[in-house]
Amino acid sequence: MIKFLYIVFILLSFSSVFAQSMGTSYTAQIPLYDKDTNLGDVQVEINGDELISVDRDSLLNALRDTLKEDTIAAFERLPSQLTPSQISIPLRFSPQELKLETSIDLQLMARKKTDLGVDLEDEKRDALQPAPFGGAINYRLEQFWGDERLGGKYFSGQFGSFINMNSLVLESQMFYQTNTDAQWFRGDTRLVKDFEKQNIRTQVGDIYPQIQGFMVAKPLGGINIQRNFSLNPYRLPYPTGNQNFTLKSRSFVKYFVNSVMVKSEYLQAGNYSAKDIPLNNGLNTILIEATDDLGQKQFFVFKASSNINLLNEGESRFDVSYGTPFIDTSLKRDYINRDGNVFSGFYQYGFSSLFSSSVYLQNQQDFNLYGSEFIQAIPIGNITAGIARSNLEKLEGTAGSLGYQLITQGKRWFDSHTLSLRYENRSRDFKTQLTDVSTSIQNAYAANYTIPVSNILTFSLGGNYGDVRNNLLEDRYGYDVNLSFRVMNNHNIAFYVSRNRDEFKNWNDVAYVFLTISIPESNSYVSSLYDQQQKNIRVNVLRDNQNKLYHFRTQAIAEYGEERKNGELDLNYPTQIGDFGSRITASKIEQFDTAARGSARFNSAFVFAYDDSELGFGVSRPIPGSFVIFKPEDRLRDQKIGLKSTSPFTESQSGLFDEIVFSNLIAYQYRDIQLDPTFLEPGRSLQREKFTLYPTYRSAHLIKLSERGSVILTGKILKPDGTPIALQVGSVGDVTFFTNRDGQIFIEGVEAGTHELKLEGLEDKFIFSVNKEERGYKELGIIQLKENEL
Amino acid sequence: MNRILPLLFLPFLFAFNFSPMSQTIELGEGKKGGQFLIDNEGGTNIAVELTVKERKMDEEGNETLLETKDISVFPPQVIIPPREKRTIRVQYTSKEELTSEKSYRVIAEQLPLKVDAKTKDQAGIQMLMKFVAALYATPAGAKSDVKVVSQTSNGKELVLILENKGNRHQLLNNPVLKYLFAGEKGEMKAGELTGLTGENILAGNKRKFVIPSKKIIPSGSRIELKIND
Repeated sequence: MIKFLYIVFILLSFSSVFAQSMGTSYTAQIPLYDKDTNLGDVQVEINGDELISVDRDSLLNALRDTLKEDTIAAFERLPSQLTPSQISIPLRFSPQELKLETSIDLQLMARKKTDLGVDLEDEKRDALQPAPFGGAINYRLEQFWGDERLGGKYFSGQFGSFINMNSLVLESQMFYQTNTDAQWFRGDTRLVKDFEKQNIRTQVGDIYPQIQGFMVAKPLGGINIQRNFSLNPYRLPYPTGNQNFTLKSRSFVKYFVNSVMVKSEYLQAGNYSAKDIPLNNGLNTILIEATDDLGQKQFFVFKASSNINLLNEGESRFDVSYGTPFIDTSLKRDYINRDGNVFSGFYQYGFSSLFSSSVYLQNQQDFNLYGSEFIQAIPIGNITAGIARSNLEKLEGTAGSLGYQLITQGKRWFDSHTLSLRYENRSRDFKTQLTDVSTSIQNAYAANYTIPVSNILTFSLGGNYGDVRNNLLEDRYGYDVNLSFRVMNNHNIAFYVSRNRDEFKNWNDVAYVFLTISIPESNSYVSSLYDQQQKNIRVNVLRDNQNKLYHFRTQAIAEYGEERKNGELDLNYPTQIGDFGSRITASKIEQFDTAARGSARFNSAFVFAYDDSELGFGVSRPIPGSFVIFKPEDRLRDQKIGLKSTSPFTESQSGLFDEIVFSNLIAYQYRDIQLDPTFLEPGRSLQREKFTLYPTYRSAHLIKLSERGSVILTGKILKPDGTPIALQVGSVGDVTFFTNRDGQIFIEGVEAGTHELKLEGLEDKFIFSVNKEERGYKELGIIQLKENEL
Repeated sequence: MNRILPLLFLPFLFAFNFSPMSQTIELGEGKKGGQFLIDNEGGTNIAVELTVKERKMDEEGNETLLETKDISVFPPQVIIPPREKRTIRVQYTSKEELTSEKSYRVIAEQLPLKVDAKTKDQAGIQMLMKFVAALYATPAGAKSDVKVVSQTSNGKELVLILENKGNRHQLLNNPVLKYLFAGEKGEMKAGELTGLTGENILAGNKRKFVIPSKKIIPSGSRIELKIND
């Protein structure tokens, strides 16, 4: 390009001289620059060093993204050839650099968007998709021994399995216990299908409907369809901040939300609109700090209120379910349809980023509950309101609620306040479900305020009042106080007292002290709870292993009360094939002798996946969500390979079948996996070490691992005169290599066979062979070339 | 400090990243090796050469890098495709039983070679980077022990000579210099110890620091350097 411009420049210079001498002009395509930014090529007419005219359309093309719409519209009304005086922006022709220069006034510039959302282009391009078929069986096997009072001797097994067939997932939980009559107990079983683009999850089986307002959560055996934003965690359906700002010169821009930096970037001078600034619940302080090349700072500060239940403008959320309610009693799941099936559903819509509303309905036989909820964010907090009606045959009732919440956040200790107020009214015949009895409280009031008293002390005060509709009863009221001290950053002590009087004048008192001590350098934590009412103290000591393989996680609990004394020690030892653990408990209850119980457990998973005519399986640590199996090729099976993802420690390594299983992928979140070749024998390496995965709901990835060729070639390449051939690129077949400054080579990835070693620009070649049995380093020695062309 | 930072020929365009910048092989824990990571954040293949040198430092903080066979590096030469990471393994291969920590430099240098078919024929300026990371081979139970050997101050500058009498290196993070003379106490915090804060004293080494300071510490004071790392 530079060469081309240079030639054009020379030619034009000549033509310019020629044209000057002839007194005529010429036309050319030359770049238009706004300071250092190339806006595009423009067709111009030049005479000598003078700009005669500019082609309107090419100028418009170059300026369309830079100028405001009204300025562009004004240009469009001008003739097709423009003299510099007709153009509202300054234009200067630079004959030395053969370019047009301008300096556009900030007032004429269009506003550019700068997005603070996550940029996933690299991940999307590189990410590997899950296998079409895979699954896992999680099992926790535990054998108990002990006194009969503590359960005696028995065996228990918990099983959680899933099969994923092209993103259709069948999942099930089963429990087995030898000291029960039925022995086997079935937990949740369901079929799940996600539609990612629409953010919709459908489920058939045991489901847990989401609720709004006065709705009651009921597990059902049935069908559910819902909008689930976790299917695309990178999309922001919740309100985000937007802010316009202007930069007078190129600046380094940092964006802070409540003093936490969320992004930084370099921006050229111009008008900008920051989009998708992530907001927290409450009143947010957003600071944009711009530092130009001379160190001058500009600050833009604004406040934005948000609520975790608000939706962005135009976003909607829903959850619709139908089925038979179930309850689990005595290790048995009962589906109860004597009162009929339940319909439960709501729909929420974001009318603006400050206002969302929802409608809902629950029905069972003749019972209906329906209502609406509203959330409005205002500059001084969030207001919520709700109204609901219920009817059962001729009984009709109404309920309403009103709430206010203010959460301020800031860097300084005295910036963080929380105030919440709530009022609720229920009429006599208002019910939230078929079997409800009328509430005795008609008006309920609650308030809570948390105020920082100093940088180490937070004080919280709450109160509630409920007036009864029956004059024979008394009004309810209560209060609670919480004092929390932070000591030396890592330690905390909290005092909590609450008193509540019910409508029968019974007082319920709670008072406790909670102490937590953290010792980060040894990953140890101590927590202690003293319950004044129960006269009970409980101490918990935990030494964490940070999820490191082959390191114990130890937890000891001691409980000392007037009637009961307990001691417990729990050990957990993670390995790549599962977590081994044991627990010892001793208990002394007032009228009984001391009883003891012990258990030994194994918590593991069997995993499998089929992809691209390849079957992989393995035994791993339990799989809470999705997983990946790395299956080494045959010649790598004698090697140990480690794996790291988000932890600084090895998170998995070669297992029973030489596979490496990573058990902790989270659905719909891109995950980088780095294989750790530290354990490989010297001279051996992996073809690829880094993988980006895109898991779906309970998915399985199967990735075949290959060795980087059979041998690594070493040696030194010399010129005919004996001096090293330094810094030259060469090839052995498809493998590219280079020489260092001493002519040394290190060539990975060479397979068995006869090969030619060549350097770029030379015909001379070195021929050598690698046997099938050869592995690791192969020394080629000194290679002296015959040609001396380099 | 600048010596342990990557030497960047251009500050804004990171062709590759090398991490971590400091690594310790704890020989006492039965370890013999460690690893570094090269992350090619650019859009083309890059050629990188890796070397390990033994690191010596004089009183002024000047480093001398010596050839060594104590540490092997794998791979010593590597071509990394765009947006790929590559693990670099280092192994302590010496049979010498260490009683004191030994210091090394791991140098990752991008070479001026066009190993990418896409850019092979393109003209232009190639930006090259060189990272110089620290590597230590540390025997069991090694500890640092930094003492102030001498001090002189004249109201313009304070000259401190420190000695690490221990057998492990010590980074001078968040240092506080406390002194006591004739019952009067004084102290200088990290912000006042310009030129010393963040510096490194290798095991068994002495370092001299000249700190611009108007404070005069009486000669004969009892001086203690507290390091809060």
